[in-house]
Amino acid sequence: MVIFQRYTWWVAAMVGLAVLLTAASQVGVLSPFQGVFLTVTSPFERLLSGTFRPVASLLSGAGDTSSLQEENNRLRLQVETLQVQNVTLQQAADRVKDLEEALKLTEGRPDEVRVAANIVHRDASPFTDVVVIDRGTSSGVKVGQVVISAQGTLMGTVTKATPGQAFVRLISDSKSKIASEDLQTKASGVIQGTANRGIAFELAQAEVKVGDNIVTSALTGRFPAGIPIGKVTEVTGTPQDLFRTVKVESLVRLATATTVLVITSFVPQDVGAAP
Amino acid sequence: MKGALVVFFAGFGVMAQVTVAPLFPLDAAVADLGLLVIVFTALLAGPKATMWTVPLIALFLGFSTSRAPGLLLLAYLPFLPLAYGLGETGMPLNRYLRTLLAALATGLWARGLLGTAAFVQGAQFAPGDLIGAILLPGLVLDALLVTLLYIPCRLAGRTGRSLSLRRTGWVT
Repeated sequence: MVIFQRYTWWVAAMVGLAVLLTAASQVGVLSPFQGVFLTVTSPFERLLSGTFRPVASLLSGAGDTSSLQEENNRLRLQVETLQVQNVTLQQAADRVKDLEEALKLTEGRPDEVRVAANIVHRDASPFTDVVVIDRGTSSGVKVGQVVISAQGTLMGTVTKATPGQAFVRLISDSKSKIASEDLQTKASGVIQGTANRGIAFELAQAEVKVGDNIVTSALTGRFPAGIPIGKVTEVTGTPQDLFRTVKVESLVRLATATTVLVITSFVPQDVGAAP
Repeated sequence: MKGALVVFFAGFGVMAQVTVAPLFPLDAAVADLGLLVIVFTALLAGPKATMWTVPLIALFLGFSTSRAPGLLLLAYLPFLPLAYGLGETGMPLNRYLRTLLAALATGLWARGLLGTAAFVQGAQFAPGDLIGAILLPGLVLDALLVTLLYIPCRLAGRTGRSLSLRRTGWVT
């Protein structure tokens, strides 16, 4: 075949190298080199991100001024509503605290330890949404730990950690599956990433409606219960359908987030795994 | 000197791939700047430099992402033989079209391979999304970027080097 006449030896060598690299990465031989590479490149990556992020924001907003104004007005109203709700909830929280003290109960997660980290870069290859953060094993970050936004919304889990950096699989990654529940109807399901980096709530024969809040469930032992994930934005099918398509919008903008918190005090347990 | 330049451009391409490319997606596809570096290394520096650039890009991209470098190497492997093969088949294609076709075919292969690997590793099987949201927008991005970068090269009189390993020098 003419294509391979002059490149046969090179193609063969590269296929051999590919096999070798795959084996080396499987046994972790490349991890130290990876750590060094990430440490060396992260300052340059911050520079590139810092330069192009405002350009991307400008471009995405340029053709969308009227809808941004509408969104701004809507958000102002929402902020006001939430501030009113916040006052009411604060009063309720104080009351709950008083009652807990009276009954000698403790609050949900008083001893939760979090490590703040910056997103350095992102792998957005097909069906993948993984970010690299600038905290690693030397800061107490370990594989399996839960990552949330600065406001407390679930963002993903740590899949790999080097001394200085860690890889975080976002909830919008197609391989991400998170046991979760509808806060209003208590319907259990799985939050899964979609191809276009969105999220969907997979559940069978249960009541769910637009506007419902989805939170994590402690069912698999991999997440603390009750971490907010997002709001239901679209539901197709009826409660009698075996599987319904439920689109969920994350409470945090996953594509533009720059700071995250890693919950280092939570030890994930793989309840479903074989002993 | 040439070796240092190859390493620099490979490193820069990978850093741009993980920082700049995700900021400008088209549907679910992002530009493949690693492939772009390979294409323009082949055009401007010739086949021997490209033979080093391909594994370097795969290795660096594997380090920067959580993907296996071996898989990335297989993803970028077809460009050089394809570009050379298109030049040798005698089809009435100028250098731009040969480069574009080889880049588009390699981009299609790379995204298809990485998407299939994601399915195998547990992503929900969605061939419709793979074609409609990743492969087709990916082709548009590749075509756009190759064309946008080829024009200044052409205007500067750099029409590209021969990819034959026997011949060297600029083709006029």
